[in-house]
Amino acid sequence: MTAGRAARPFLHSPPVPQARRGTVLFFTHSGDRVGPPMILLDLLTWIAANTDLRFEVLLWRGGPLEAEFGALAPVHDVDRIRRWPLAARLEALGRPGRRAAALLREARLRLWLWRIPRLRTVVVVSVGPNDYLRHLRPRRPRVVTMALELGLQLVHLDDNDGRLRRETERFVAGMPVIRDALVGLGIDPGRIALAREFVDTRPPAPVRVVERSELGIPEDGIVVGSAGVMEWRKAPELFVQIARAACAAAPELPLHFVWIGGDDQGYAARLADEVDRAGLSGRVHFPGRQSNPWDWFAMFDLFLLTSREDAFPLVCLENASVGNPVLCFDTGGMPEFVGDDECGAVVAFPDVELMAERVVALAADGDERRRRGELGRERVRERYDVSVCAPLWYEAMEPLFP
Amino acid sequence: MTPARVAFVSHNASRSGAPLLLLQLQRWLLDHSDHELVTVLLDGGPLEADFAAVGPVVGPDDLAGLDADLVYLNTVGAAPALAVLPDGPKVVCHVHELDYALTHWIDEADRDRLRHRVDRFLVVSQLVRAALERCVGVDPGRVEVHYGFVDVAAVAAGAPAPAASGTRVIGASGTHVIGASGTTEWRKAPDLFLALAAAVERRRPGGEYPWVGGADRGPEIDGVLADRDRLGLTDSVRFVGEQPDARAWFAAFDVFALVSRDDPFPLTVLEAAALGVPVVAFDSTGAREFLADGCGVVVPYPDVEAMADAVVRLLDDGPGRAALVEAARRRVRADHDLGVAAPRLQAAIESVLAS
Repeated sequence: MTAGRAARPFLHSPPVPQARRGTVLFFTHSGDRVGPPMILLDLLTWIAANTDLRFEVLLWRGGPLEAEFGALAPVHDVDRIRRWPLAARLEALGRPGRRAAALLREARLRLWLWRIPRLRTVVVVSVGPNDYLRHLRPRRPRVVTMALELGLQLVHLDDNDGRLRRETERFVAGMPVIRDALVGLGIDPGRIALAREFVDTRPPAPVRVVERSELGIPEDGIVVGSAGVMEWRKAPELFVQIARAACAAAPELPLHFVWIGGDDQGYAARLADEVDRAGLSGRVHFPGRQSNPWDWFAMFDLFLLTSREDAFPLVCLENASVGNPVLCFDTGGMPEFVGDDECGAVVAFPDVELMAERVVALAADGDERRRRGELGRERVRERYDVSVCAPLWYEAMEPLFP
Repeated sequence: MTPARVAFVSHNASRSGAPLLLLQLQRWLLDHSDHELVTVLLDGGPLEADFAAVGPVVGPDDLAGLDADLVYLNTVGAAPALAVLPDGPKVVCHVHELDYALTHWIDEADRDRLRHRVDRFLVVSQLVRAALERCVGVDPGRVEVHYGFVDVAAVAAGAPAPAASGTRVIGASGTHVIGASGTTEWRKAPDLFLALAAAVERRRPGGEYPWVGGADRGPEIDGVLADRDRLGLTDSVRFVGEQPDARAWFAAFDVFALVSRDDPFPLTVLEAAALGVPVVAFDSTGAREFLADGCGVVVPYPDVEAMADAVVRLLDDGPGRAALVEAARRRVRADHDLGVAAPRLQAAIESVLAS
């Protein structure tokens, strides 16, 4: 790069060192503290420590994990690349200006991505929107897709005339159920390798102790926790219904229900209304997005996953890591972890009454609750820790790496 | 009464409860008074032509210069109009909304204007009166309950079986049809309709569960459809979307299930009653006031198991069902017919004009 070119506005990124073999670009939708970016961060941490792979990271938009990615490799934030002052000025000029600005934003993104040295492989983390791939196409990278999702999310296979379906040379499925779902959607089983989703089972150092009194929960209260973005897939409305059924079935138990997680779709207001209507004010709590989820998990006694579609939510593994039994419906991949109720309970979707019975049974029997929690803790360390699973992912992808 | 200029402000012209009720009231006033009627539509919709047939229709830009003796806000959704309304006219607000809408559809400035600018609130149920006091801080003394109404004779006349009207056959021999109707938004709870269908099927397999109205595809309903398929109810639960002959569908229901979590006073329940279809509903809706005293079955929200029990009882108990249907039919004719309810609303409007 020459000094003269570096002065131009679309070439402001830091200079990149030359790679010996070529670069692998890992793409994920954001730097938010949610499943796919967290898996990627753990995986890249392992790769950086254990291999000499040269890689960079592309985020659709930034987020709290961006700095941690940045400590491992150069990070490109599509949202920021497109947020170009020149384009913003053009947009103020009405419709033709907006059209020109859109073209300029895309051109800038394409130029930006062209500067990744010796791009050989793109790893797409989770089946999702993939419009950016067209900008990489002229460089003809090999494409690996890490499939971490189930259900409606898989419709993105057919976005942009099926680009992901067409261009992915190898899918790596995080769970057998995901592999089956891909096969069901017409992906040749020979193109699918299998790995296993994971977490870093060592809880991070506590940020602060979350006191029950913050939510008005008594010290002897039994806290049924959940966590996730409030959206249809995660079924927060069933969380309220289960709370109602459980409180009705066992009015003598000091049951409290706490869901941490953000809300982009107006769920929180609806659910607050629902909680009032069900007469559960003070028993069901939605404290919103939290930056220190592990501190909240430490306050939970049980973890209740209400998802209708969730391939393998890591938040369950994290809760298992701190000894919380996991209760879930028989959808997605989590029953594989819970087993025959050994580490919690599995209930047919969407049997709210039966789930409430299971919650009450474990809430009432502290010994059994701790026994199942302990089994979960052992299982997650043995099978789902990053140290065990990251090598599986690496081996599955390595044949396509430079 | 001296003829007055009355401006009706509707938040839109959609084919939904509040605009339909307004149209009925306007037609009544056209035939039974000399008042001059103007409609102000804050947004459009399929009923625009119907409003135009009643009298002049203007848009939000005309509000500031409105020369009227009385302004009738048809829902709290029309409350933003108060921000630009001149000081002169008296104001009546007809409230069809419960807590969620009163809290989230309008903002604090709207609530403040409602408290200070409205001379009288007309509400569609006692439940709404309580919500208005709780969420907006309106003194109950300024509130009159005027339940919703339908033209009972017209409803009963408009109900050939769907097979005859060529829509489709429902309720073929031997099957039971548990139907619902409404938009497919959160408040109307299509999610609970699925849960109800599953619960009824466990007790009495082989039923059909049509939902008339709302979306039959698209983002609002896709999640519900996926759940339906997951529950193995693909063939029995069907969201058929808007139907021009909705009443013909209702007439083919064995039971009308109002599964709404939030519903101030649904007119569909009155239509079902006029058509001789028994209704089950949750106690979180204003329908409970119509269904009281043996005119229907009300169960605690959101106990779908109790609702399923009630549905099966209605299917099995011929005499009990007949008594309930008859009681509901009597009540809808006596209290909720256009010919009874519209004069009361007219009297309320005229008493505000005279005050």
